[in-house]
Order: sequence, then C-alpha cells, then structure tokens
Amino acid sequence: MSAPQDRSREVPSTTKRFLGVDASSDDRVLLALPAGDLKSGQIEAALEKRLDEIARHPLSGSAEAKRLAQQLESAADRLQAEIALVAKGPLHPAAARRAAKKLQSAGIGASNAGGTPSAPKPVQKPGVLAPDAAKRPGVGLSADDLTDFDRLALALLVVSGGWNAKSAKRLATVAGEYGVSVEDLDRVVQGLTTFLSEGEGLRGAMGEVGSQARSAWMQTPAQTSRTDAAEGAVERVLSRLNDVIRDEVTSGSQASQIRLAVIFGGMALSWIGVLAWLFFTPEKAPDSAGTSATNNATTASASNRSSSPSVDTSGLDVTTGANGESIAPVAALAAPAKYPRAPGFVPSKAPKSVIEAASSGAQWIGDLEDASRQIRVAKGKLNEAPATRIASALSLAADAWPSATGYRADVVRAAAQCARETRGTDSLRRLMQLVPGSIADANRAGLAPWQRIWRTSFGAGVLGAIALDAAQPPEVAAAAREEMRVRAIAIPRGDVTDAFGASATGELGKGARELAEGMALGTITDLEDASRWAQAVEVAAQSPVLRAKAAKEAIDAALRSPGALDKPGPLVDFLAYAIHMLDYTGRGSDAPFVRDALASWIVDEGIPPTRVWVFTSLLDADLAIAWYGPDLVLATNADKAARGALADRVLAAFPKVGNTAIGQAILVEGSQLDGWRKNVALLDGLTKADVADRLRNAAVALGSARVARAFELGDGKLAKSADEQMVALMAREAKEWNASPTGERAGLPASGVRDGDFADAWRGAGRGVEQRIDLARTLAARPSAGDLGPIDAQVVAFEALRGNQPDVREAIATALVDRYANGPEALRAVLDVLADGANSQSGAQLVSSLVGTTVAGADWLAEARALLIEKIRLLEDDRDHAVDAASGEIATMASALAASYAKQGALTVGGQRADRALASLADALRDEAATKFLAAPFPAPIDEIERLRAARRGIARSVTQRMAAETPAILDYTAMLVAARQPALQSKLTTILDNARRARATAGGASEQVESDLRAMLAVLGEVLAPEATKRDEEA
Amino acid sequence: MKTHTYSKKTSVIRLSCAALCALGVVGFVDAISSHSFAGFHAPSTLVAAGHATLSTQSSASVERWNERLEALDPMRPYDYLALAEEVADAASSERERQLARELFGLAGALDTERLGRSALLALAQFASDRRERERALAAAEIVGGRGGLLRSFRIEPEQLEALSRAFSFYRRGEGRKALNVLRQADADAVLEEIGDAIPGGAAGFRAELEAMRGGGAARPDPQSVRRLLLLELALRQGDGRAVSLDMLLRGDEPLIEIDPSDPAALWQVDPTKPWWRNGKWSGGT
Repeated sequence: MSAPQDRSREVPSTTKRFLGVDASSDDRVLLALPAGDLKSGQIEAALEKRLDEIARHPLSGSAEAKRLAQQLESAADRLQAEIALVAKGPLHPAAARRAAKKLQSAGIGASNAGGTPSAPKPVQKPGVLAPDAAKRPGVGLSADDLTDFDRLALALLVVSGGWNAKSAKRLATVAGEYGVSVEDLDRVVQGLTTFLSEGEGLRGAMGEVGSQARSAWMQTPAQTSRTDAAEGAVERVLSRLNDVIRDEVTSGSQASQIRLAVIFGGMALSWIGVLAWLFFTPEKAPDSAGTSATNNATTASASNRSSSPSVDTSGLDVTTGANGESIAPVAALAAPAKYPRAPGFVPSKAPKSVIEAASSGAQWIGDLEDASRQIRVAKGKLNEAPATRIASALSLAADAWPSATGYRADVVRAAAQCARETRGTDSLRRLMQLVPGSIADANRAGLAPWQRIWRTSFGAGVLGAIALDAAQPPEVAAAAREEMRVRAIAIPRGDVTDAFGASATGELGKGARELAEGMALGTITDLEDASRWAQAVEVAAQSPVLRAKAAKEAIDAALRSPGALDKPGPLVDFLAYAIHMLDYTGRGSDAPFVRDALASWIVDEGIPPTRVWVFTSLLDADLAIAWYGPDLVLATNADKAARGALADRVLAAFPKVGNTAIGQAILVEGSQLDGWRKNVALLDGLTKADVADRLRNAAVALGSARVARAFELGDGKLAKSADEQMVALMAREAKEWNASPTGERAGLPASGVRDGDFADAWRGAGRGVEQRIDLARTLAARPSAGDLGPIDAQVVAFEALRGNQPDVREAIATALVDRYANGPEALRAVLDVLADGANSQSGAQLVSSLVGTTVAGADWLAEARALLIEKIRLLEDDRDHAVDAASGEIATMASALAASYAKQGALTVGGQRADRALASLADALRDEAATKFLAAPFPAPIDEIERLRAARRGIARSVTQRMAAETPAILDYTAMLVAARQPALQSKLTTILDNARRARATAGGASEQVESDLRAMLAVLGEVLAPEATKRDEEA
Repeated sequence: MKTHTYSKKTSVIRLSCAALCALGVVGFVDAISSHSFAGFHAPSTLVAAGHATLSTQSSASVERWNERLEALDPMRPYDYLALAEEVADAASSERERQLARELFGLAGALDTERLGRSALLALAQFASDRRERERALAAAEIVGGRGGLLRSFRIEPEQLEALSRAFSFYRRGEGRKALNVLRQADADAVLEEIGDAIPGGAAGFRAELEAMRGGGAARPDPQSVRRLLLLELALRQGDGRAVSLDMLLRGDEPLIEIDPSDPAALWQVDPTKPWWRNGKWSGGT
C-alpha cells in the first residue's frame, strides 16, 4: 500500500498537477462544484473555469492537458445528464452543443441530415439533444426528449404556419439568443420536421407543447439562459486580458514592447477621441425666433408629450419645500409662440364721418320725441309719418351710437317712449321692425362689417331695452321679444341691470365671430373693423361681466376660426386684444367666468392644440398677467391628458384672492407684511419740518403704495425693488438732499485781499492800456481766488462787458472767465451790468464762456440772464435743491405706480413733473376703479370725484397746489378700489377719508396736504392687506 | 405855454391843499371815534348821537325785511337765496349787508348741491379783502364748479426785461434807475402781481428804491439779493420752473378745501338755526 502511495507522491496525477485535486475525485470535486442542487449554467461555468486553469498552466499545450480537458468535459456531461434526468431546469446551450458534437463525431446525424422525414432513424434527431437522449440511440423521440430550444423552435414553426420566411426570421433571432448557429438551426428544423411526422400520439400533444414553449419564451427565457451563460464571463475576459498583458510585460522582448506600445497608444487615442466627442459635439440648438412661430413648437416639452405623466407637475414633479421654494426638478417647458412684435392693437379713432353723424344726436332724440307725440295723437296707431321719422332717427343712431355716448341713453329712452305710446299688434310689430339690425337690414349691400355689427347690436340693444322694461305694457314687451326671436337675438335672463348693454353685447359677440372668420378667410385684412368692434364693446359693455363676455366670444371665435394664429396678422392681433380685455387678477366680479373660460378652451378638443399653444403663449407674453408663466404654455402635440393636466394647473395658478369674513383681502406673506407695516411706521416718524421734508415723505408714501401694489399683483421682484427704493429714500441724509445737483462748488474771494483794492488801482491807472492790462493780469494771478468782492466785481464786470478799450476788455474778460467763472459775486456783477446793455457779440461770448453754454440770437440777453442766475443757484448747496430732488422722487414714484396700474399702452406717463406724474397716477387709478363694481359708489361716483378734481385744478395756482389737487382724487380712487374688494371696510375707510379731509382743510400748506393725503392712502391700503395663512395655520 | 404851466402848478397846489384838509378832517373824526370805541373816555355827544343814528337806521333797515324773513322756511332754501339777492341789492347799511351774507350762507348750507355755488359766488362779492374773495371763489368751484376758474398769470417779455433790469439796478444801489425802469412796459403791474414773493412786498420794494434815490438806504442784504435773483429766474422759466422756484413765487399756500362736517366754517352761519324769529336766527319755529 505504501509503494503506490510513494509513487503517487513522486509522480502526481495529471489532475493533481493541473488542478490540485486527486485523480480519484468525483465529478463535482473535479469541477470544483459544491454539493447540492446544480444548474446547467453553473456546471458549464465551472468547466470553463477549470479549462482556463489548464490553459494558463505552463503545460497547457501538452497531451495531458488535453486529456484532462476531455475528462473534465465528460464530468460536466455527466452532471448535466443528472440534471436532465431529474428535469431540473433547462440545458445550457454549451452543453447541448457539446452533446451534438459528440453525436456528430460518432457518425450520427451529419451524414443523415438530408434524409427523408419518412426514415425514422435516431441520426435524424436534431443537433441539440438532451443528454439523456444521446444515451438512448435508436429510440424514437418523445415530447420529453425536446430541449427548451427545441420546444420554442417547434412552437414558432407551429404558430408561423410551418417553415416560411416569417418563421425563419423568428427562428434566426431566437437561435442567436440561444447561441445556436445557422447550421445547427437547419438541423434542428429538419429534426423537428421528422419529429412532427412521428406517431399520431405525439401530434395530439403538439398544441400543449407549442403553448408551453411560447409562454416560456414570453417569460424571457432568453434572459435566464443569458444569465447562465454570463456566469464567469466577465471574470474570464478580465483574467485573460490580465494574463496577456502580464505575459507581454514580463517577456521583455522588443516585439512585446511594440505590442504594448500599440495597445496603450490605441487606448490613449480612444480616450482622446471620447473626450473630443464630449467637448466638441454640437448641441441641438433650438430654432431662433423667426417670423413663423410654428417651428418653435417642435421643441415642445417632454412634460407634455403623449401620455406623459410628468405633465402633472403639481402632484409629482414639482414639489415645494417648507418655505415654498421648488425643490424638485422643474418640468421641461414648451417653447412659447414668438412674433416679430407683440400681437395686439390699439383701436383707431372713429372716422370723422361717424363723429360728425354722432354730433347730431340731439336731432335723433327730437325726431323720436316728435314721433311719439304723433303716435299718441293717433291714439297709438303708427302712421307713415312717425314711422318714417322713427326709422330715420334710429337708422342714423345705429350708424354712430358708439361715438354718441352722450345721446345713446336718451335715444333708447325716446325709442322706448315711442313703443310705449304705440297700441295694436300691427303697429307694434311694424314699430319693432323699424328698429335697425333686422336680417334684411344687416344684409344690405355696401355695409362694412363694422357697420353691420354696429347696426345689429344697436337694434338688439333697443329691443332688449324695450323687452326688459318693466314699465312697458305687456303687449309692447311681447312684441319686442317676438322681434328678438325673429332676429335670433338672445334675450338676457336673470337680474339684468343694463338691458341695452346686455343685448347689444350679445350681438357684439356674434360680430366677433364674423370678424374672426373674415380675418381667417382674408376678406378682412386690416384692423379697422376690429377697432370699431372694440369701440362698440367699450360703450355697450359697461360692466366687467359684460365686457368679459364680449372678450370671451372674441377669443372663442379666433380660436375656432380656420385662420393661422402662429403667424402675424389681424387675426392674432384681434385675439391678443381680446385676451387683454379680460381681467386675470381674480379680483373682479368676472373672475370665475374668466377662470372657467380659460380652462374650457384648454381642454376643448374642438380647438386644436396648436391653437391653444398660441393662445397660452399669448397669455404668457401678456405682461399684465403676471402669474401666467411659460410653464403654462401647452405643447403643440399635447394630447387630451396633457391638456387636462394643463387646465388643472392653470386653475391652480389662477389668482385666488383671499376670502375673509368681510371680503377679499390681499394676502401677503407674513414677514413681508410686517416689513411693510414697519416702513409705514417709520414714515410716520420722519420729520416734516419744511416743504422738502414733506415732499420727501410724500415720495416715500408713494413708494410704500408701490410695494402694496406689487403685493396685489403678486410680483415679488417688483415688491423687493420698490421696497429698496423706498428704504433708500428714507435713509438719505439731509446733506445729500441739499447738495447741488451739478456738484459744482462756489469760488471764494482770495484771502488777504480787500474788496475795492482792485477798483482803486483801476481808477489810479487812468486810461493807460498797458497799465490796465497789467492790472488785469494781476487779477488773474491772485492766488487761490475763486471770486471777487462786490466792489471789485462790479468794476471787472463793467470793463469786461462795456469797456471801450478792446484789448483791455479782452484781457479782463479772460481773467474773469479763467479765474472767476464760479464766483457768485462775479457772476452777479456780470448779470447786473447786463442791465445797461452790452455789446452783443463780445457780451454773448463772455457769458457763454462763463456759463458753459452758447448764448446767441436776438434774445441773447434774456437767455444770458437766465443762465447766469441758474448757475449762481446751482453753485451752492441749498434747501431748495432738496425740494426739487424730493419733487423728482415724487414724479418717479408716481409714474412707476401709475405704470403698474395702467393697461398696456394706455398710459402716457407725465415725465418728471411731480404734478403731472400725480395726475397720471390719478388717471390710472380712475381707469382701474372704473372696472370695479360697487353696489353704491364709494366714496363718491367717479363723475363727482372727477368734478372735484377739475375744480381743484381750476383753483390751483402753484405746483404744490396742483399736486394737492390730484392727491384727494388718488385717495378717493384708492378707497374705491379697496372698497370694491372689501365692501365691509367702507365704514373704516370713511373714517380715514374724513380724517384726511379734515387734515387737508386745516393744513398749513399745499405740500402738507399732499403728504397727509398720501399717508391716508397708505392707511387705506393697510386695511386691505392681510397676512397669508402659514402651513401651520392651514393644518390647524 | 408858460401861463399854462403856471396854472397847472397852481391847480396841483390847490388840489393838494384840499386833499390835506380832507385828510385832516378824516383823521380827526377817526381819532375821536377810535377813542370812543376804545373806551378811553365817554363819547362826545356828537359822536354818540351819530352812532345812535346809524344804529337806529341799521335796525330800521333790517326791520323792513322782518315780514319776509319770518316767512322763510328751510324746506324752501331757494327763498333764502332770492331774498338774499334782494337784500344785497337794496342794502344801505353794513347790517343789511351782513343780513344778506347770512341769507346767502343759509341758502348754501341748506341746499349745497343746488344753491351752494351761487351762494358762494355771491359771498365772494361781499368779501372784505382779496384773500377772502379768492377763498370764496375757490370754495364755489369746489362746491359746484368744473374747473372754470383756471387762469394763469402771463407776463409779457418786455415787462419781464424791465423788471429784471429794475432788480439789477436795485442790487447796484441805483434806486432812481430802477424806479424809472419799473415805469416802462407796465413792469409795475408785474411787481404788484409778485408782491407777496418780495421781501416787504411791492410797496416796500418801491420805498427802498426811493430811499436809495435819496442815498439813505444801505446796500441790499444778501438774502434779498438772492431772493430777487431767484424770482427773476422763476419768472423767466415760466410754467416749467422748478418746484422750489415755483414755491418762491407762489408760496406753499394750501389748496382751498371744503370740510362738509364743518358747515359753519364754510358758510359762516349756523344751519341749525334757519328760522328768523324776534329779529334773530333761531332753531325753532
């Protein structure tokens, strides 16, 4: 027993030398496999690993190594066979290939591959066979003998209707995934064909086989087999690379060095190439804004792509942190439509002919009143004469009613009076038919679209006013309603306060559709008709709701018309104008109407997404709609879900005015509101000792009002900048206020020189030119001299302007200009000498040199005096400069505030004059207040506020009084706007206004009145500001 | 020619003497009356009798309106206005003029909307000075006007140049020249118009120029010099002048404001006493 042991110790077995295991080891030990259940792939991976170890061995090329490899393969095959016998998982393709190879080497299969299917021989088995099948040659195949690949191939043949191009393509794909070559696949197919031709019993099971195989394929069988195949692959590749490089490095031969240089050089070059690709590959730049906006839509957001769940950023993509900041990735945006200029238009003025026609409004009323008397005389019968009068008067009125605003109500009243006098069905029916705007009337040839719209809307208004007039006899109202139905005019329902306006606006909405279609079809090429339409809407729609209805109809018409919206043209201008008519602040009575309309347009599938894209782009571009951002622009390819999501986001973003117990407050973030109130309190503490102080305080108050306005608009950026400006004003030192705006400093007389010395010397010098020139030179040579004494200055100025010795005059003028141009006394002396007259040429030159501005012309003396005094004024710091600076600040603040109230393009800011800027502000506030609805005017009707304003202007004599003439109106309009938000505040506001009026009446100066009014304005604004609810409040 | 000159001088002397005599008489009467009102001494019989007569006349003149005054009813405010106009037209005494003012005031207070403006315009006619008159006119505008009072002070270029030269001569101490220049181109009118903005007013300025002519005035103080300079600049710059210059010229006077909560201040009457009973206004019928 010992000898063999010794021999074996001396001559280790092959397995021991190559693998470190005894030759008597079982298959698992040979392959270094653990005990327990094995997988086919696991066996193959172990085999590969062992084969690699053999390959790395120095004797890898020996016959022993080859034998050992075959031994290992046999061991692996045995293990695979064990697995196959207990049907544990699929056979690894490598094992299958190895089995097939063995069969081929045994002379089976290949030579008989082309045999007929009728020959039932085992050699006709497919190339890939289960290991156990190989053990039973000559036995017919059953379904259990098929591998997974066989089953899958068989299923594909079945479902594809046999061997054809389709099944071939599919099988080739699957074979690639299983690692089966084309030749093997060919044999598999032949074998399967043979298999299908075998016994009837098997055919009955084919459906089951096919379905099992297909379902297995659907459950990604390829991935499972790939996982098996990949086991150890990465390690093998890396190990192989490692070995190769190691061998090359350790060999040290020149060839190895060259190869290494080539390998690493290639790697370096590839890295350089990758880096160059990263840095220099051009990005896809978006299309630049061109005249056509269509291309921009192609960069539509991913968020809005089909069925993109990220569209609804409110729920998922965009979340906010504790402080409200966005902490999540921002969804991609759709590129808004762009145009060479902002779409929209300013309505042109009415033609002169219309204005002239409108001026005869009194005549229409007179004719109608005469006609009503004639009807009354005829006991209610409408005869020819009154009918003609009525028809003529109403027709003329229908052609010019938007320009005859002063007569419109009276015309309607007179027409209603005619109706009231009329009796009898025939007469009434005839009377109603006389009202312009009937179908026949509207279709008359030669009428421009706007004329047709004016006539039909006027007719609708008159009929509506009669039909809804409770004072009319029932038969009259019935006749009017009948005529309205004939003309397809919608009869206003509910509580109608302005029957004419409601009916006329309805017709104007229809007119908008006509205009939009005309623009789309090209029959209307300019904006004249749209301007007239806008004029009529402005007159007819007196309430915000009516105006919103008209605008909604216009937008709807433009969106549904067939014309292009993504290119500049009248249609998009019309659309933009209508968009601008709506109030998107959420404060007006029409807010729900506007909000719902926006959402309905976005989701309306009758409007293509490209048109909604334009619409939402225009909303985004409208600076008056601060809350509408580019994230609310619809993509051109948005589907229904994306549109719905956008509508939800628009509804969420639409301003919600906070509802308090007493109305709608402006909600402001708590700390911001505290800051605002603190600044207002600081303003109360500022000194108001003189006019400059009071005007500065007024400017600060306007700054605070700007901040409040920014709160109202929800514009944080504006609020911040306005707040900074206001704080800077409060912090400015008195010295800065008093400083000369030009920064020039006054010169001082030379120290140690007595005033009059020069005058005495001058007299003493007599008329000698040389002596006088010398004296002039001494004047110029005085050290540190910037001014003269009054006596010397008078002599110098006289000689410089009126001296009769040219050389002397020139010398002394030169000294004056060079040394004393900033001397107040010297300048004043020149001014006073000008009172005696002066040589026009030399005098103008001298003054020009002194003031730095050319003085010339026939009125040079007047000009010279003004410039000299202005220069004297600006040489010294003075409280007057503070007054002017504060006035300038008032102008700046008031203009900015007015701009924040004014509609786009509707404001001409009054430059840098404080009184004009305040007037602009009052105008802007008035226009804003006119859009608000109050059950009873507060604090007074706009007409009364304007009358008082005009009256105050009439009695104002100074600039500060003109400012004080505007501030009461500013205060009243501010109170009106606040009361429109919160009607319940009226009692508080009344108190503030009364106090302000008393303060105004007892004020000691106009500047004090201005200041007190603007302080009162802040008190009014303070009432409507309320702190925003915090998260904690909401949770509570 | 000479004779004519002589007779003119004579006439001037005679007129001057007559004026001086008249002034002396007026001064005497004024002195006596002021003494009597001040209560220094018992009024002389003559003055007392005179005042008694005036008082009696005033009472008598008011009493003639008693019947119509007692017929007034605050429900008919227009009657107050109509009677006020009659009284104003027929007023022969201060008491009657006061009565007219009271009637206008009551008319305006009782129906400000319809009669307020008329009443204030009428009250402006009774104003004792320019400021009060302007205030009444402004109040009329506030109560019912529509900016019709808008007016601007316009200065002709010749007036401005003459005034500017006068200022220059003033600064140079040449009063005579300044006075002469002021007479040119009606510059005096401009001086009157801007008198409030000149230290001492227009009259004070002229007096100073007169003093300069006689050599009795010192050189103008620097503040006055600067003020006149800026005034000239303000006038030259017209309506586009800086606010500080405008304030120098126009001041910072408050804009007239009506306080409806204080009708007594506006109308100078007590609207709660609209009934005329026993020779005075009362609150009950």
